[in-house]
Amino acid sequence: MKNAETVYRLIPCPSFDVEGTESWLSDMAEQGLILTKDGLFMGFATFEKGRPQKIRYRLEAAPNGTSMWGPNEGEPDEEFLELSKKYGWEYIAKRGDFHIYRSFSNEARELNTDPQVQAISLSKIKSRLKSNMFYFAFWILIWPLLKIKGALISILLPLGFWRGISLLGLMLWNVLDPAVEFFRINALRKSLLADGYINHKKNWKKSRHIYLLTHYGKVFFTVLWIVLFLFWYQADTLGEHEIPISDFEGEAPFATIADIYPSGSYQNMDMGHSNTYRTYGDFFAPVNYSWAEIGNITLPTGEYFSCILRIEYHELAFEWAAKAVAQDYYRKNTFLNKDVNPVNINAPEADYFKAYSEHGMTFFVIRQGKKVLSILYMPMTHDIAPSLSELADLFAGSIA
Amino acid sequence: MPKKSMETLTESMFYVLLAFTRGPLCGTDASELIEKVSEGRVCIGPATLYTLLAKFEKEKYIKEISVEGRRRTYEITEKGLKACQSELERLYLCIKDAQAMGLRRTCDEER
Repeated sequence: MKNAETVYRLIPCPSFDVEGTESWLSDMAEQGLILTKDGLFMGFATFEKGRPQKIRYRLEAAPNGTSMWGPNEGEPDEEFLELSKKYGWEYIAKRGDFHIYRSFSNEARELNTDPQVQAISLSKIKSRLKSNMFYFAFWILIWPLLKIKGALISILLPLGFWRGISLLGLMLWNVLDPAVEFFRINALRKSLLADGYINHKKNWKKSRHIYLLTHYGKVFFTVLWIVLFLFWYQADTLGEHEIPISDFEGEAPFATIADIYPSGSYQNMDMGHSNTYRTYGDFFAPVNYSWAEIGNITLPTGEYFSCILRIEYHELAFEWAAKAVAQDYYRKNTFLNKDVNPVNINAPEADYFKAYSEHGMTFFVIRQGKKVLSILYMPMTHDIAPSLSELADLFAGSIA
Repeated sequence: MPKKSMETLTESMFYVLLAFTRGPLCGTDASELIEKVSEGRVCIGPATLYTLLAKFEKEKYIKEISVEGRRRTYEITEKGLKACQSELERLYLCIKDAQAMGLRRTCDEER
């Protein structure tokens, strides 16, 4: 016996579009495309080619969801399957929060004969979606923001403007999706309570292109972003962006260890790590350095000084961005951090200056116009270590 | 003051509760009884019936008393009986008020 030909179609409407999905499946049946059992998966529908016929498809709210890890593996209750079968309805597939049934008989009574009761069944989905909305909003937006203490711009700078914006866009998109679903289901519920009417002949073609574009666009960008991020992360972890400071040519746009005692003889100390820098930039932040240096200076008098210096330097295209980055650096290191102590020194001439210490290290955050410096300074010798005021003046002056 | 959920029963809700006033039933039997009593006028859809059974059980209008394979049998509770009686009273009052205002049933006018 010849097997029926299988045809695949992209599903043209979202899972919560009850009217659109029912209308589309019925229209497909009128073209001779009959949905196969469990024929909806990952945005594709599988049909068998048969004779054109009128089939009613109905989406029924799944009381416990359709997840295979949920009760009854997301399948309908056996009692309801028997009840619906008795009245001419066959369970065929599930999608989103709905089970899909169909009837080949025009005489079979509707699955739902009371719109108020159908609205009750949608209330369960609404509650689940509400929880999802808050769950997604918390884990995708709120918790990460709390974790970085709101230092959004400074965290995203190394990613670059477009990668950062696309990441934020994807995060927002993933938060908005459950919200849109929630509001659409609620709107359907209210419509049932008001009109008692579901349009089983909705024109699903009207919004098909927009849906396909947005849905598959999101999938594409999410996958692309993950792939690009993995490449970037791998390169970052392997230190492929790191360049030895000894290879640096020219003058750094900020003070380094050598500038602390310019009359001395500078040497960087090879500790098997560090003494590297990284540079990056785009239109939003044209010049950026991430500088990790351990070095020593021998003065003409024979005195010896060594220290560790870690610097983040940014030249932003906009002053408001520079202000935000400077505040980010200060906030993410000091907010709710019991180990941080303010350092009381005379502030240098700068548009923004903060100094604090933690575990023997001193931190400066300095802004001059659109330039920002975040400095970690730890002296390894103390005999001729400069005062913190002198250092603050040096760094602030180097970016004035 | 807006009415709370289930304060006024729809026709389906009323008939499903009414069916259980006859004694313990499973869903299928309740549906058949409703169709018989209403002479085919009230045909409850399977999804409507199933949602109502779950809702009434949650509201403690009915309670499950036995399970045989896929068939669950329910019986009405005191609370459910009161809700049914309350709705019946409301419907009688509607009829009484309509009659007081001179509205007659179409079949009464034809006689």
